[in-house]
Amino acid sequence: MINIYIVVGTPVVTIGIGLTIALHFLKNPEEIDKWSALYNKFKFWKDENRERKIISKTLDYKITRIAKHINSESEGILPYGLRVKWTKPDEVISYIEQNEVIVVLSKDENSDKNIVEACSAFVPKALLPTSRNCIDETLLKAMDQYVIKQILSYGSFDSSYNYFMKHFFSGIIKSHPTANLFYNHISKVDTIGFFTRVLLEEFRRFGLLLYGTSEETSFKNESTRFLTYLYNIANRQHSERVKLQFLGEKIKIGIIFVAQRATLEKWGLEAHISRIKKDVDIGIKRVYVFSYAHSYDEMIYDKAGYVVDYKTKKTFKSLSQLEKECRKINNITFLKKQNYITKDASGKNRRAKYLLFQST
Amino acid sequence: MERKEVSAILQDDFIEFLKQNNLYDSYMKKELLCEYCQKPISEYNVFTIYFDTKIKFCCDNEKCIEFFNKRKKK
Repeated sequence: MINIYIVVGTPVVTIGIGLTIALHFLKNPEEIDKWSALYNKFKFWKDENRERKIISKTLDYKITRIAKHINSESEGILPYGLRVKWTKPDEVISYIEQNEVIVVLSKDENSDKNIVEACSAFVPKALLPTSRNCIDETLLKAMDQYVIKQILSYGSFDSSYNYFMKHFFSGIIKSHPTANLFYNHISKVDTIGFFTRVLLEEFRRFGLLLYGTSEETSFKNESTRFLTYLYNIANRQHSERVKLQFLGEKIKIGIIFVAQRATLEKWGLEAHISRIKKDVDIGIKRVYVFSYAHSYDEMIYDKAGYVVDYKTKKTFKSLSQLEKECRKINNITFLKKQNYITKDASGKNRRAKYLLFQST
Repeated sequence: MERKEVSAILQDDFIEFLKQNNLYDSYMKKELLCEYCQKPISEYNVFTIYFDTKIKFCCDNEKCIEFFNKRKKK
């Protein structure tokens, strides 16, 4: 009997494991690069092209993995992974004639220069590919540098990060007052989680609206005004009132912060629902509703029905309620929701969630 | 996730690149210079290659990289 189980079970388990691995690689194709780099390292140790393969696969895997993570915060803002393409010397001239800068990579797979140069060549091509003509050039530079810095810091490329800060960052950002100002604004906006979720998300939509039209370069000022608007929200002091609607010519959004639990229980969700309706009435196209997790106590009873303990749970009960109510409103559609971790005004890590609605 | 390509050559291909583009003699005579500091370029100090009316080079000196990045901005 045992033998029958072994004979039948072995192929089933093998196929099961094989299918799981295949599914994992289908979902995360950059993982193939990681294993391919390791394979090349050991299998082809005598191959003269092995350095080439190892360098490109390592860079492809590391940078693509982080790009994927950034893109997951707002689908479409960094839609590409990296593929280092080895240019043959006899083809180089045609590439250079298109004003493409060619990265010279060394054999050392841990070279700081390689990682920084690959990131610096990659990000301006991959970040918001259809929106780049609509955004102010200096702001675009600041955003590129910010994303490169994020890739290097997420990826724990400590020595590459230092190389980048010393050789690139100081030259591009520190020596350019406007780029420096934009960069600082972006950093501030990112502290409340708005960089990818609102700024880049709106720029992506802004680009989709104008891409390929004659108006593509006509609204660059709007991109800088939009950054200033988000910066004012991120920089507001406790109980300071700032404008929460942005009504540009192309970007028209509203932001709503769900009140603290005590205020909500006193006044209900009506004020928020009415704010969303008012925003839509004045021409706002998308409304972002943000909330921190609220604490609720859950009682634990014994068999006799006495309270023996309580547990504090952090949930988004009010936001879920608001979502349910807003889905009933005719002229708005629900677009998406996302949970994330951010920092509050005191610098404490907080669980947060946002809902995105669009007027129809 | 789709991939975007970044053109790259390995340091080992640098000499081949120079030969293909008739720059090898200039290289041997140490006439290939960094566009910014005017030091001779070699496969060990080349940072990047770019085209600006002709093929130009930037070495890996940090000041030169800064100048190169400012040029890219224009």
